[in-house]
Amino acid sequence: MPTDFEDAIEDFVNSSLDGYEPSTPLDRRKAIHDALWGTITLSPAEIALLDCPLLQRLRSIHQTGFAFYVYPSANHSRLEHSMGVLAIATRLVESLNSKRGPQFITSLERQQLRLAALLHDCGHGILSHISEHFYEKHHWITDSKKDPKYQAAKAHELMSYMIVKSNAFDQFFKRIRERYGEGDKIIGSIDSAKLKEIAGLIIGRPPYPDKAYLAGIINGPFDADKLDYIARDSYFTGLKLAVDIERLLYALDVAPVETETGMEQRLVALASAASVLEQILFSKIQLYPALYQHAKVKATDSMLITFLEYIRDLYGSLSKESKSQILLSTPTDYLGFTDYDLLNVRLHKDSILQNTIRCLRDRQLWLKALVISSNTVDKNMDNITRLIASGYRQDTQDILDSLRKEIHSRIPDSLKGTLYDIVVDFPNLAQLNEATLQVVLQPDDKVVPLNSLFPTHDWLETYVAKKWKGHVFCPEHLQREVNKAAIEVLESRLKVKFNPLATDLANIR
Amino acid sequence: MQEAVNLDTLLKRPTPQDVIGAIFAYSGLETFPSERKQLHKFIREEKRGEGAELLEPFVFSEGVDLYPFSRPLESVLMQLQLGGWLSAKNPEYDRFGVTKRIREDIKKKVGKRFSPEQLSVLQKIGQEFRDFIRK
Repeated sequence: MPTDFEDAIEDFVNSSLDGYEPSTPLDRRKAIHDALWGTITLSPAEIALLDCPLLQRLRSIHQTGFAFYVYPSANHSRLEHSMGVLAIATRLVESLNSKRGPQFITSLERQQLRLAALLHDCGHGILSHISEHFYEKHHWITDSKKDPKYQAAKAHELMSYMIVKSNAFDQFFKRIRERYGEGDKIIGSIDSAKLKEIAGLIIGRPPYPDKAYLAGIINGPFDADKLDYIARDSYFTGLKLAVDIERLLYALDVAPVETETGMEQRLVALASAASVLEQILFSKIQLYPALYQHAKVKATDSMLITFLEYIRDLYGSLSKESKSQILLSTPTDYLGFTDYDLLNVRLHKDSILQNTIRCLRDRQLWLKALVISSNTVDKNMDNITRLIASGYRQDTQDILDSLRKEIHSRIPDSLKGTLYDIVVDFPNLAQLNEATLQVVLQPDDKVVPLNSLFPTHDWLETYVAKKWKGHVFCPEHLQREVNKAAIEVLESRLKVKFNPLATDLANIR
Repeated sequence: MQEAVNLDTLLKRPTPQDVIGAIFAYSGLETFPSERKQLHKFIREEKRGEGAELLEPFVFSEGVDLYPFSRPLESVLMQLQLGGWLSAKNPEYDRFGVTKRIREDIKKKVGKRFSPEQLSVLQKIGQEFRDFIRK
């Protein structure tokens, strides 16, 4: 991990928790009502943690960014999701303990899992996945991801991990331990080492090799995070997706699974629930075209990304004294604000920013100027796909930015606007590792990957690949000119040939 | 004008898709099993040898997945399918296919993106991939 990364995290946690003192009465438990999972009960120490500014800021971070412009009820927050993950993680624990004995997962481990669930998203920045777009390009993240220990973690998971394992958070948790530890012996036993184990669970690393199933509950092929976000995102968007969680809970178990480093006790599903694992996969891939990569959602994301780029470039060039309250140079800067702060027009004196905020508030969203897919490109589609980011690389974004500049340079001066009015968007392909990593316990006690029962993985990869769409987005008044310029630039630079569908699907007004 | 030169340079730089596409093309194999454990294992082994520099983007997880697993490699396998360089064979989807015409097309394209030394390494890895599959 780069040292300046660790230093910045320490600063962020210190400043975030400055002035906050855990004060929940020692005997107060709380029942919180969740739209999906019903009553969730929290201990006084958990309430004190939930009430801290590190977690409360998640209340103002939308789980699905600004997708509510497309699905009006998708206003759910990262905080709701974190509580949902706590609820599901607890149910997974109870399910395993009901089969294996009441202390198979000990009370201490149960508490660690509940805290990991609450904290697992504390590294999410403004607008959720929009911040992820910036995280992924920053050298703190790209350097960290070169380490095999962190390769499997998503950028925001790494941020959460860094926060929870920071000295500043350790000091804060010490105060929780001191206040509640006497009445709650389990909380009292969570020392610095146990706290670091909680951080590890967030990135899928178990505290002990013989307890890999603990990490699987928080970050694994069918973890509480996935079970909650699939259910929550589909519920609040109104998309009808089904994952039979009750059936999964019934069929969940732990079994020895052969890994490269030896046998590990992993979370498995009985063969009778294999269909539920398939439901998880099918639901996840349907959420991509229907929600996460829906053209209008991506158009809004593109607006927000250029909005943040503009803020970053504008304020980044100012002297320290005159910098705005919103500075977006490093990943920790994205933790310092909420979605609502960002759209506070009073924070921004700049006319371009004010205009963008007005457009967002009035839902004057960008439009498609060109649709790029295997259906709209007749020649050399491989020249497009080689520019989709695989892993953490800067080159790809540099190329897309250069293409954007060339498109912008071809817009007539009278219409030109700014470079921040155009985005060339080649979204990442959905990661579908679950089918090869989910394991199923067969009646003969043999453990096999889900994919060996049915080739779900390859089938779904083909589906995802064929569903992929890239776009060029811009404001309505530039749509026709950007369409023309984008076709010229992309055809000449990438040696591709668009068919008329590329323009027809953009519905040029 | 300066911008255009930069873009040209960027576009000529090999990408992870080019690397894996070239290995499959130089293997000369018309079809091969799509079994992920074996594909990931092969690339990881090659990364420990002469292919280290070319395969650098393919970072493998340790201690989290069931076997060393590279998320960038999975992305590339999808990119290759979307780009038409690789096909999954119906009805079982348990084999990947690269036709002779596609193999020749890939070789022609990647030939311009890699140095002669890199191409030589890729050809060698391609042959090793063929041997690995035939074992």
